Amino acid sequence: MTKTRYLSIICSISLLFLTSCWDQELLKESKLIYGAGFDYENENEIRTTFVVRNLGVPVSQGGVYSNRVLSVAGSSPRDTRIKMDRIISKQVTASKNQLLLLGDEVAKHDIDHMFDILYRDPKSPLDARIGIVEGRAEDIFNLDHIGDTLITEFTTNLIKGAENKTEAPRMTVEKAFRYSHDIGQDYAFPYISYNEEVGAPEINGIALFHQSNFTGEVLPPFDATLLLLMADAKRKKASIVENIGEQHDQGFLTQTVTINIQNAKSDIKYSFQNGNVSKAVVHLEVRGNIEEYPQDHLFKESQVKDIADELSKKLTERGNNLLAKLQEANCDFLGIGRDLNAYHHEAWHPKQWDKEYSKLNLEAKVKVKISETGIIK
Amino acid sequence: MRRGKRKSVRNEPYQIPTATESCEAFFSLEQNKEYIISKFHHTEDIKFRRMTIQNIACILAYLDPLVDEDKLQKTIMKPLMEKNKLDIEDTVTSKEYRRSKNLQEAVSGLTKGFVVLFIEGYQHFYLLEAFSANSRAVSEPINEQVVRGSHEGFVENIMQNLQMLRRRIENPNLVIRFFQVGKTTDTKLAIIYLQHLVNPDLIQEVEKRITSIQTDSIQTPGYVEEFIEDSPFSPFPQMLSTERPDRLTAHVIEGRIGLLMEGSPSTLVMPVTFFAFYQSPEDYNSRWYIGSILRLIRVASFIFALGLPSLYIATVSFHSEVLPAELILNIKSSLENVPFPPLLEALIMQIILELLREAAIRLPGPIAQTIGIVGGLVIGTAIVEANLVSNMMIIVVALTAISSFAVPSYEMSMSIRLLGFPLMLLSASFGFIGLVFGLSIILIHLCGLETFGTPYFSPLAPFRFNELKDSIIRLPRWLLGNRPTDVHAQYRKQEWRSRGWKKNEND
Repeated sequence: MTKTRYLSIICSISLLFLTSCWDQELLKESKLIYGAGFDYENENEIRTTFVVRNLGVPVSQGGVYSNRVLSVAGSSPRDTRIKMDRIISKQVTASKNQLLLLGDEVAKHDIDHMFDILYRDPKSPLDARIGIVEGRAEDIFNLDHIGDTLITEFTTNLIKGAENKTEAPRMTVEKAFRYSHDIGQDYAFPYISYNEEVGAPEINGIALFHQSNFTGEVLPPFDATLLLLMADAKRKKASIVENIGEQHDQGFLTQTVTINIQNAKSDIKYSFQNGNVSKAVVHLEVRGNIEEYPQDHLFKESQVKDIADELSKKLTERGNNLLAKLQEANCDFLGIGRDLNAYHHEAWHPKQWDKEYSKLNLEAKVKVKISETGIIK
Repeated sequence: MRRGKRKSVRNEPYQIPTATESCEAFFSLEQNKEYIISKFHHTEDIKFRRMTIQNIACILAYLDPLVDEDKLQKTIMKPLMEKNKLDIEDTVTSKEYRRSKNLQEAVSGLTKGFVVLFIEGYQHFYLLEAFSANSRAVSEPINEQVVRGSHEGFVENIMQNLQMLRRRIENPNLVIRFFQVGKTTDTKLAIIYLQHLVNPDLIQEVEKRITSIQTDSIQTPGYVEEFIEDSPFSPFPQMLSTERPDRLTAHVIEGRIGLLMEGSPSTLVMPVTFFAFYQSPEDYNSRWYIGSILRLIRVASFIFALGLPSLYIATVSFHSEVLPAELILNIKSSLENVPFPPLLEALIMQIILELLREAAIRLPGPIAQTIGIVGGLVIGTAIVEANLVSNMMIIVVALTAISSFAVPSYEMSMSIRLLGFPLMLLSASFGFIGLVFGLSIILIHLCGLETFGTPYFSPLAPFRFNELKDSIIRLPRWLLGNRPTDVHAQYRKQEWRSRGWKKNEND
């Protein structure tokens, strides 16, 4: 009895030291991918650009971070990844990838095919931001750095900044997966283009998607804000600049008013006909304060009201235009299909929704209220 | 396991003879003296003082180092000589007096500082107390200092310690029971408790365990602790060791039992819960918000000290994807040129730390500071510059060490640091899974541990919401109406309407 006890103790102790580290993935033995871009190469090939972070000298000893940009063509993202691993020292991990850029050409093909590599791996970064690039994603990454900032950080923060200003939806890998498999809900990614004047990428609106394909339609940033307000997706800040016409114009730079949206409430009302949805009206009510209005007549209640009415009219007009654009692109950004599925199920025909949506009578009604005028009247 | 009849335990020749061995005293002085000398094997510190009272020869025998000269002169010799009477009981002013004719008693009395008076022609002799009770001055215990509150600490003299306790609880129900333990040293132990408050079963259990101790010697309370604790293989201390009278008093009043030992300023409290080790008398001296925050910090320190290095090892060797993107660069850049795996790195740092602590702890103050500087600054910076250990690991290990020192009890702080090592091994071989398993095993052990029939992890297991207010946090005293239930004190209420004046004021 004592013999077996001793044996078991010895076995368990030696097991502890013999386990080795079969599934260990040491952080120092890995190379981190900080950004990846996909581009259309030809009928059967994709070009993937990887941004790998170099850490030669520790920062504490005066080193600086730098990127190594590699571009590989292959028959699938995984194929390019394996090819890239051959030309890079250490083990590559994509678990901290911050940014995924898609060239507009490749985005028009099914993005699910490219993101499969991300969805399948439990370690893939779910909060990586996705952007659509006008032209090729490779070109953006090849900029390497903007001023002192590395391109991956710069672009990621560009997207995050746009999200905070309600100019782009907060789209991560996880959300892209969810929405691209949802018939009743479409989505949009921030659209990035290269600004020749400043020599840096800029946010140039949002790229509308249908199912998992880029529709080719891009909404400019202002419309994107309005659309996001309609979708009840206001983030930290949302500003609207609007030209309010000639009767207000009394000199240089006096045609516009800027309001900062405090809160927005959006509600969609449906009308039905023969078991089909015939009309949907988006009621958007925003309350904002005036951030800029150079003419200073705001001590008059009526003046403030006039501006609000004018704005309501203008924004309703803009809203209708952008909804038309959405329908043209067949992008159900507001999730009307999902609404129907949940609340008006008898009018929900998932198989025909593609056709029904573009024929739907979609209308916007925007009402603006002004609550503050800043610290001067 | 050996079966069969156990051999009855007899005292070895070098041990103190048991009380059953007795020897009738002789009528002649010389014979008695001979017997005593032979019993003490001609030791040279035994003194005999001849004197004559009423023309009868007498001998005072005593062990010189144990006897207070002043007491001997004033309470024994002077009255005997001046009154010159053989009526010992009325003459001698010594505070303890015994009459016997068993010479064995004389021998054991001598070792305890008694003076033995033999009279020619009488078989009876007298044992007169003249014990020299010198002890060091009362000072604050170094390892349990407080900013505010009592600065009194126990000393090596058990009587003085008991006096401190009696002064704090002036109550006839405060009972002290003495035990003589150790067949060679015959050390005096005392347990102290409040009769009618402490669970009688608990008293019985403690007495039973103490009386069953059969050993040569008891030199520190640690011996007693090891003899009477429930789970000797548990890494957690199951008795609270303290040198503070106020701490012991607080526990006695909660219905626990204190154990004191002659020759040691540390006392033991039993039974205690895990959270008793995270309490400090100071908590009750500051505002209750501060006390609560301090307790929460200490609980956090437990978690840090236990799990921080293993969490770090598991993260950098298995699950680096849980780190935020900004943080991972810092950590990775500091790890880049370190040749060792994280486990080895952590072991190197932990061992260096334990070495420094062990080296500094016994050195006199000024030299200990030098060790601190050499160890902390020189080794710390040099080891990073030499790329042996990463910056992050230094931070982690330093934080662990600091957290473990935040525990008010030294034993607990050591146990926790020790427990960190198996956790480190587990997380280095299995990652987070190993860490979770290790922590679960510790938690299971804590929940299952019992000391003297009370659950160790109370009030978390068994969960008693009401008692969290004096264990994890500390609410104001007037909200703590009941004693903790884990000790099963006979009366639960400990506070009635101390703030009753408030209500009267409003009327």
